[in-house]
Amino acid sequence: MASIVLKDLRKAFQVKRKAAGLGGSLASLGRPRYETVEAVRGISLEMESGELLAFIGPNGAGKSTTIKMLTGILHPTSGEAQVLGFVPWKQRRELAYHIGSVFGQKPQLWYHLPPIDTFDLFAHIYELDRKTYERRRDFLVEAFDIRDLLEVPVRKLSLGQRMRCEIAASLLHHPRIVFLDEPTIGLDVVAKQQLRDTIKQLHAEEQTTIFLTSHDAGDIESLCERVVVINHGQVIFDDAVKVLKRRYLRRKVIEVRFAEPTNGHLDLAGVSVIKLGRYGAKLELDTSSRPIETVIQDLMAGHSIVDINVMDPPMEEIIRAIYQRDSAFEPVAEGA
Amino acid sequence: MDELIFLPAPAAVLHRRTWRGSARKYLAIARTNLLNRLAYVWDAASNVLLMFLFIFIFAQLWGATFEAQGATEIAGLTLTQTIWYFVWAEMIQMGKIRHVRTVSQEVKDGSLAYTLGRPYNYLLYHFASGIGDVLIQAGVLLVAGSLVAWSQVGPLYSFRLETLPVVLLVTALAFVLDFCVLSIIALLAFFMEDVNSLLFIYHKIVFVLGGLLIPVDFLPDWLQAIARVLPFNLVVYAPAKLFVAWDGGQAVFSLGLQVVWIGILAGLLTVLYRYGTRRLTINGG
Repeated sequence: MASIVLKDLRKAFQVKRKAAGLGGSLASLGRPRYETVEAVRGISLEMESGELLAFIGPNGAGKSTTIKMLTGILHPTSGEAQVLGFVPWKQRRELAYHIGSVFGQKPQLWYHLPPIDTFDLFAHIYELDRKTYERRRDFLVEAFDIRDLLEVPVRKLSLGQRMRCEIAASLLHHPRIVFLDEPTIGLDVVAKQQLRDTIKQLHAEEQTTIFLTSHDAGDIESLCERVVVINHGQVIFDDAVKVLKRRYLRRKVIEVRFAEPTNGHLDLAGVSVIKLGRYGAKLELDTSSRPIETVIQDLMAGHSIVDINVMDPPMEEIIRAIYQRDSAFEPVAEGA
Repeated sequence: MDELIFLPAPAAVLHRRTWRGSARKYLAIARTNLLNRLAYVWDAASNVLLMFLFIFIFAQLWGATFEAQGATEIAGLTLTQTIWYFVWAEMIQMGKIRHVRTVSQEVKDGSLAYTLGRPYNYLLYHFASGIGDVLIQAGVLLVAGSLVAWSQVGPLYSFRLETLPVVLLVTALAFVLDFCVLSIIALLAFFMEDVNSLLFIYHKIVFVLGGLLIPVDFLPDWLQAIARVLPFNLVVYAPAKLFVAWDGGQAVFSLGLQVVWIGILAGLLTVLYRYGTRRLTINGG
């Protein structure tokens, strides 16, 4: 059964423009100049219940706007949508009982109170009966490993700890769909991985539909089955993560720092050198031609290494590659 | 994609609303917010200091005024009544629900995506958030103000205990009325860049026409006539005046007018809420 159906969904905002400086401000007072910015430009999408979908794109692509329409916060300019059979912006309160959301950059837990107080409050807001709530809470406390954090004021928690509590809080009412907007933003590698594992495990156990946005290619690779890429408010890719990976995520960038100066050249089969200094290098590699482990082994065999960093290509580059490959999608000029 | 088929909302997932569930919900909101506010206990303390200062200064100023006039009453109020009037008036003014800043902050930082996306009435949520705070603040402020007033002008002999329930009712409605006006300003933040100017204007109107600067009785006749039909005097003057100089007829009149204005403003709020959520622009992404 389809959980989420979007059809040609659009959202335009009126944005006030003003020229720089005092003169511009005064002119804008008299006759404000408005410009229409189309944040979402006709998105159609269907999502089965139990699916774990990654919704990705660069900053300002329209990801959050789409989520806000799906949760009923924003009214679309045109188009239709249905979430669990509800029209979100018309039946926001009804829908709210069945969905949960986490916005990575915004806290929902009460800042001066321990998480347990916010949990209790949510139990009342979602009208859970005491027994169901306690059982659910105890389960989530175990799953997210937050027993020791429950009674610590939120302001004293680290970002990673807080994020685990934030996500647990949004799952208390057993939502059928969870919107996770940049849940791993700002987390260190360990905290990221821990969070991904928990989300994965919960999804496997409860078959919750998960709608995830992220900037981090790692989130998508390790979590999702299907990925939708949007740019300038339009869907430019909608397929299995495997396909995205095979086509666009093959390239890895390796940054390496050496303990001793190099002799000026670095020769590794299948690896192109982008930059080479006396104490460091930036390398690029196509993982389909050579696995990354062997490159690192070679590097370590020939040099003494202080630091090594493997990176995915940035989102912008993936998007450029998608445009280049598929000429059916015409790139939209910047600022259009 | 094929033609979009609109399924009816499955009956099984429709949530059954109960009065008890709703009441518990808003009580829990009030309670949690009150707990959170305990971290700001010094805010409340600074209000108490202000109250001490205000009532002390008012006592000096009005004492000098009554003396210079050689009068025991001005516009029907004695010095004692005037000072106690200000205790009640300042208690309302300083204790009021301050959600305008919260709402416009929510719009600015985007946390509205959370607070607007939960199963409750958004404005009732803010009312519940504020009400616990109001009860505590008002209580503390009243004690503080009374101490100063008592020491400066003595007890309020004109006060009659049996009128207290009605005075409290008028005061409670004053808070509700004030909340309605403030909510209109707050909802305007959904699509206006900045509502602080509106807030400023409202506060100044209440200051002059609402009876915070001087009781409405002291205003020139023509201005009194205007002030008495507008809702602003119902926020501060009406309850404060009833507290110091009970008048049964006036109480009924004030209550009636409060109910009418709350009705009008609540209607306006409903329309504005619908319009506002349509026009809403959340910052950030």
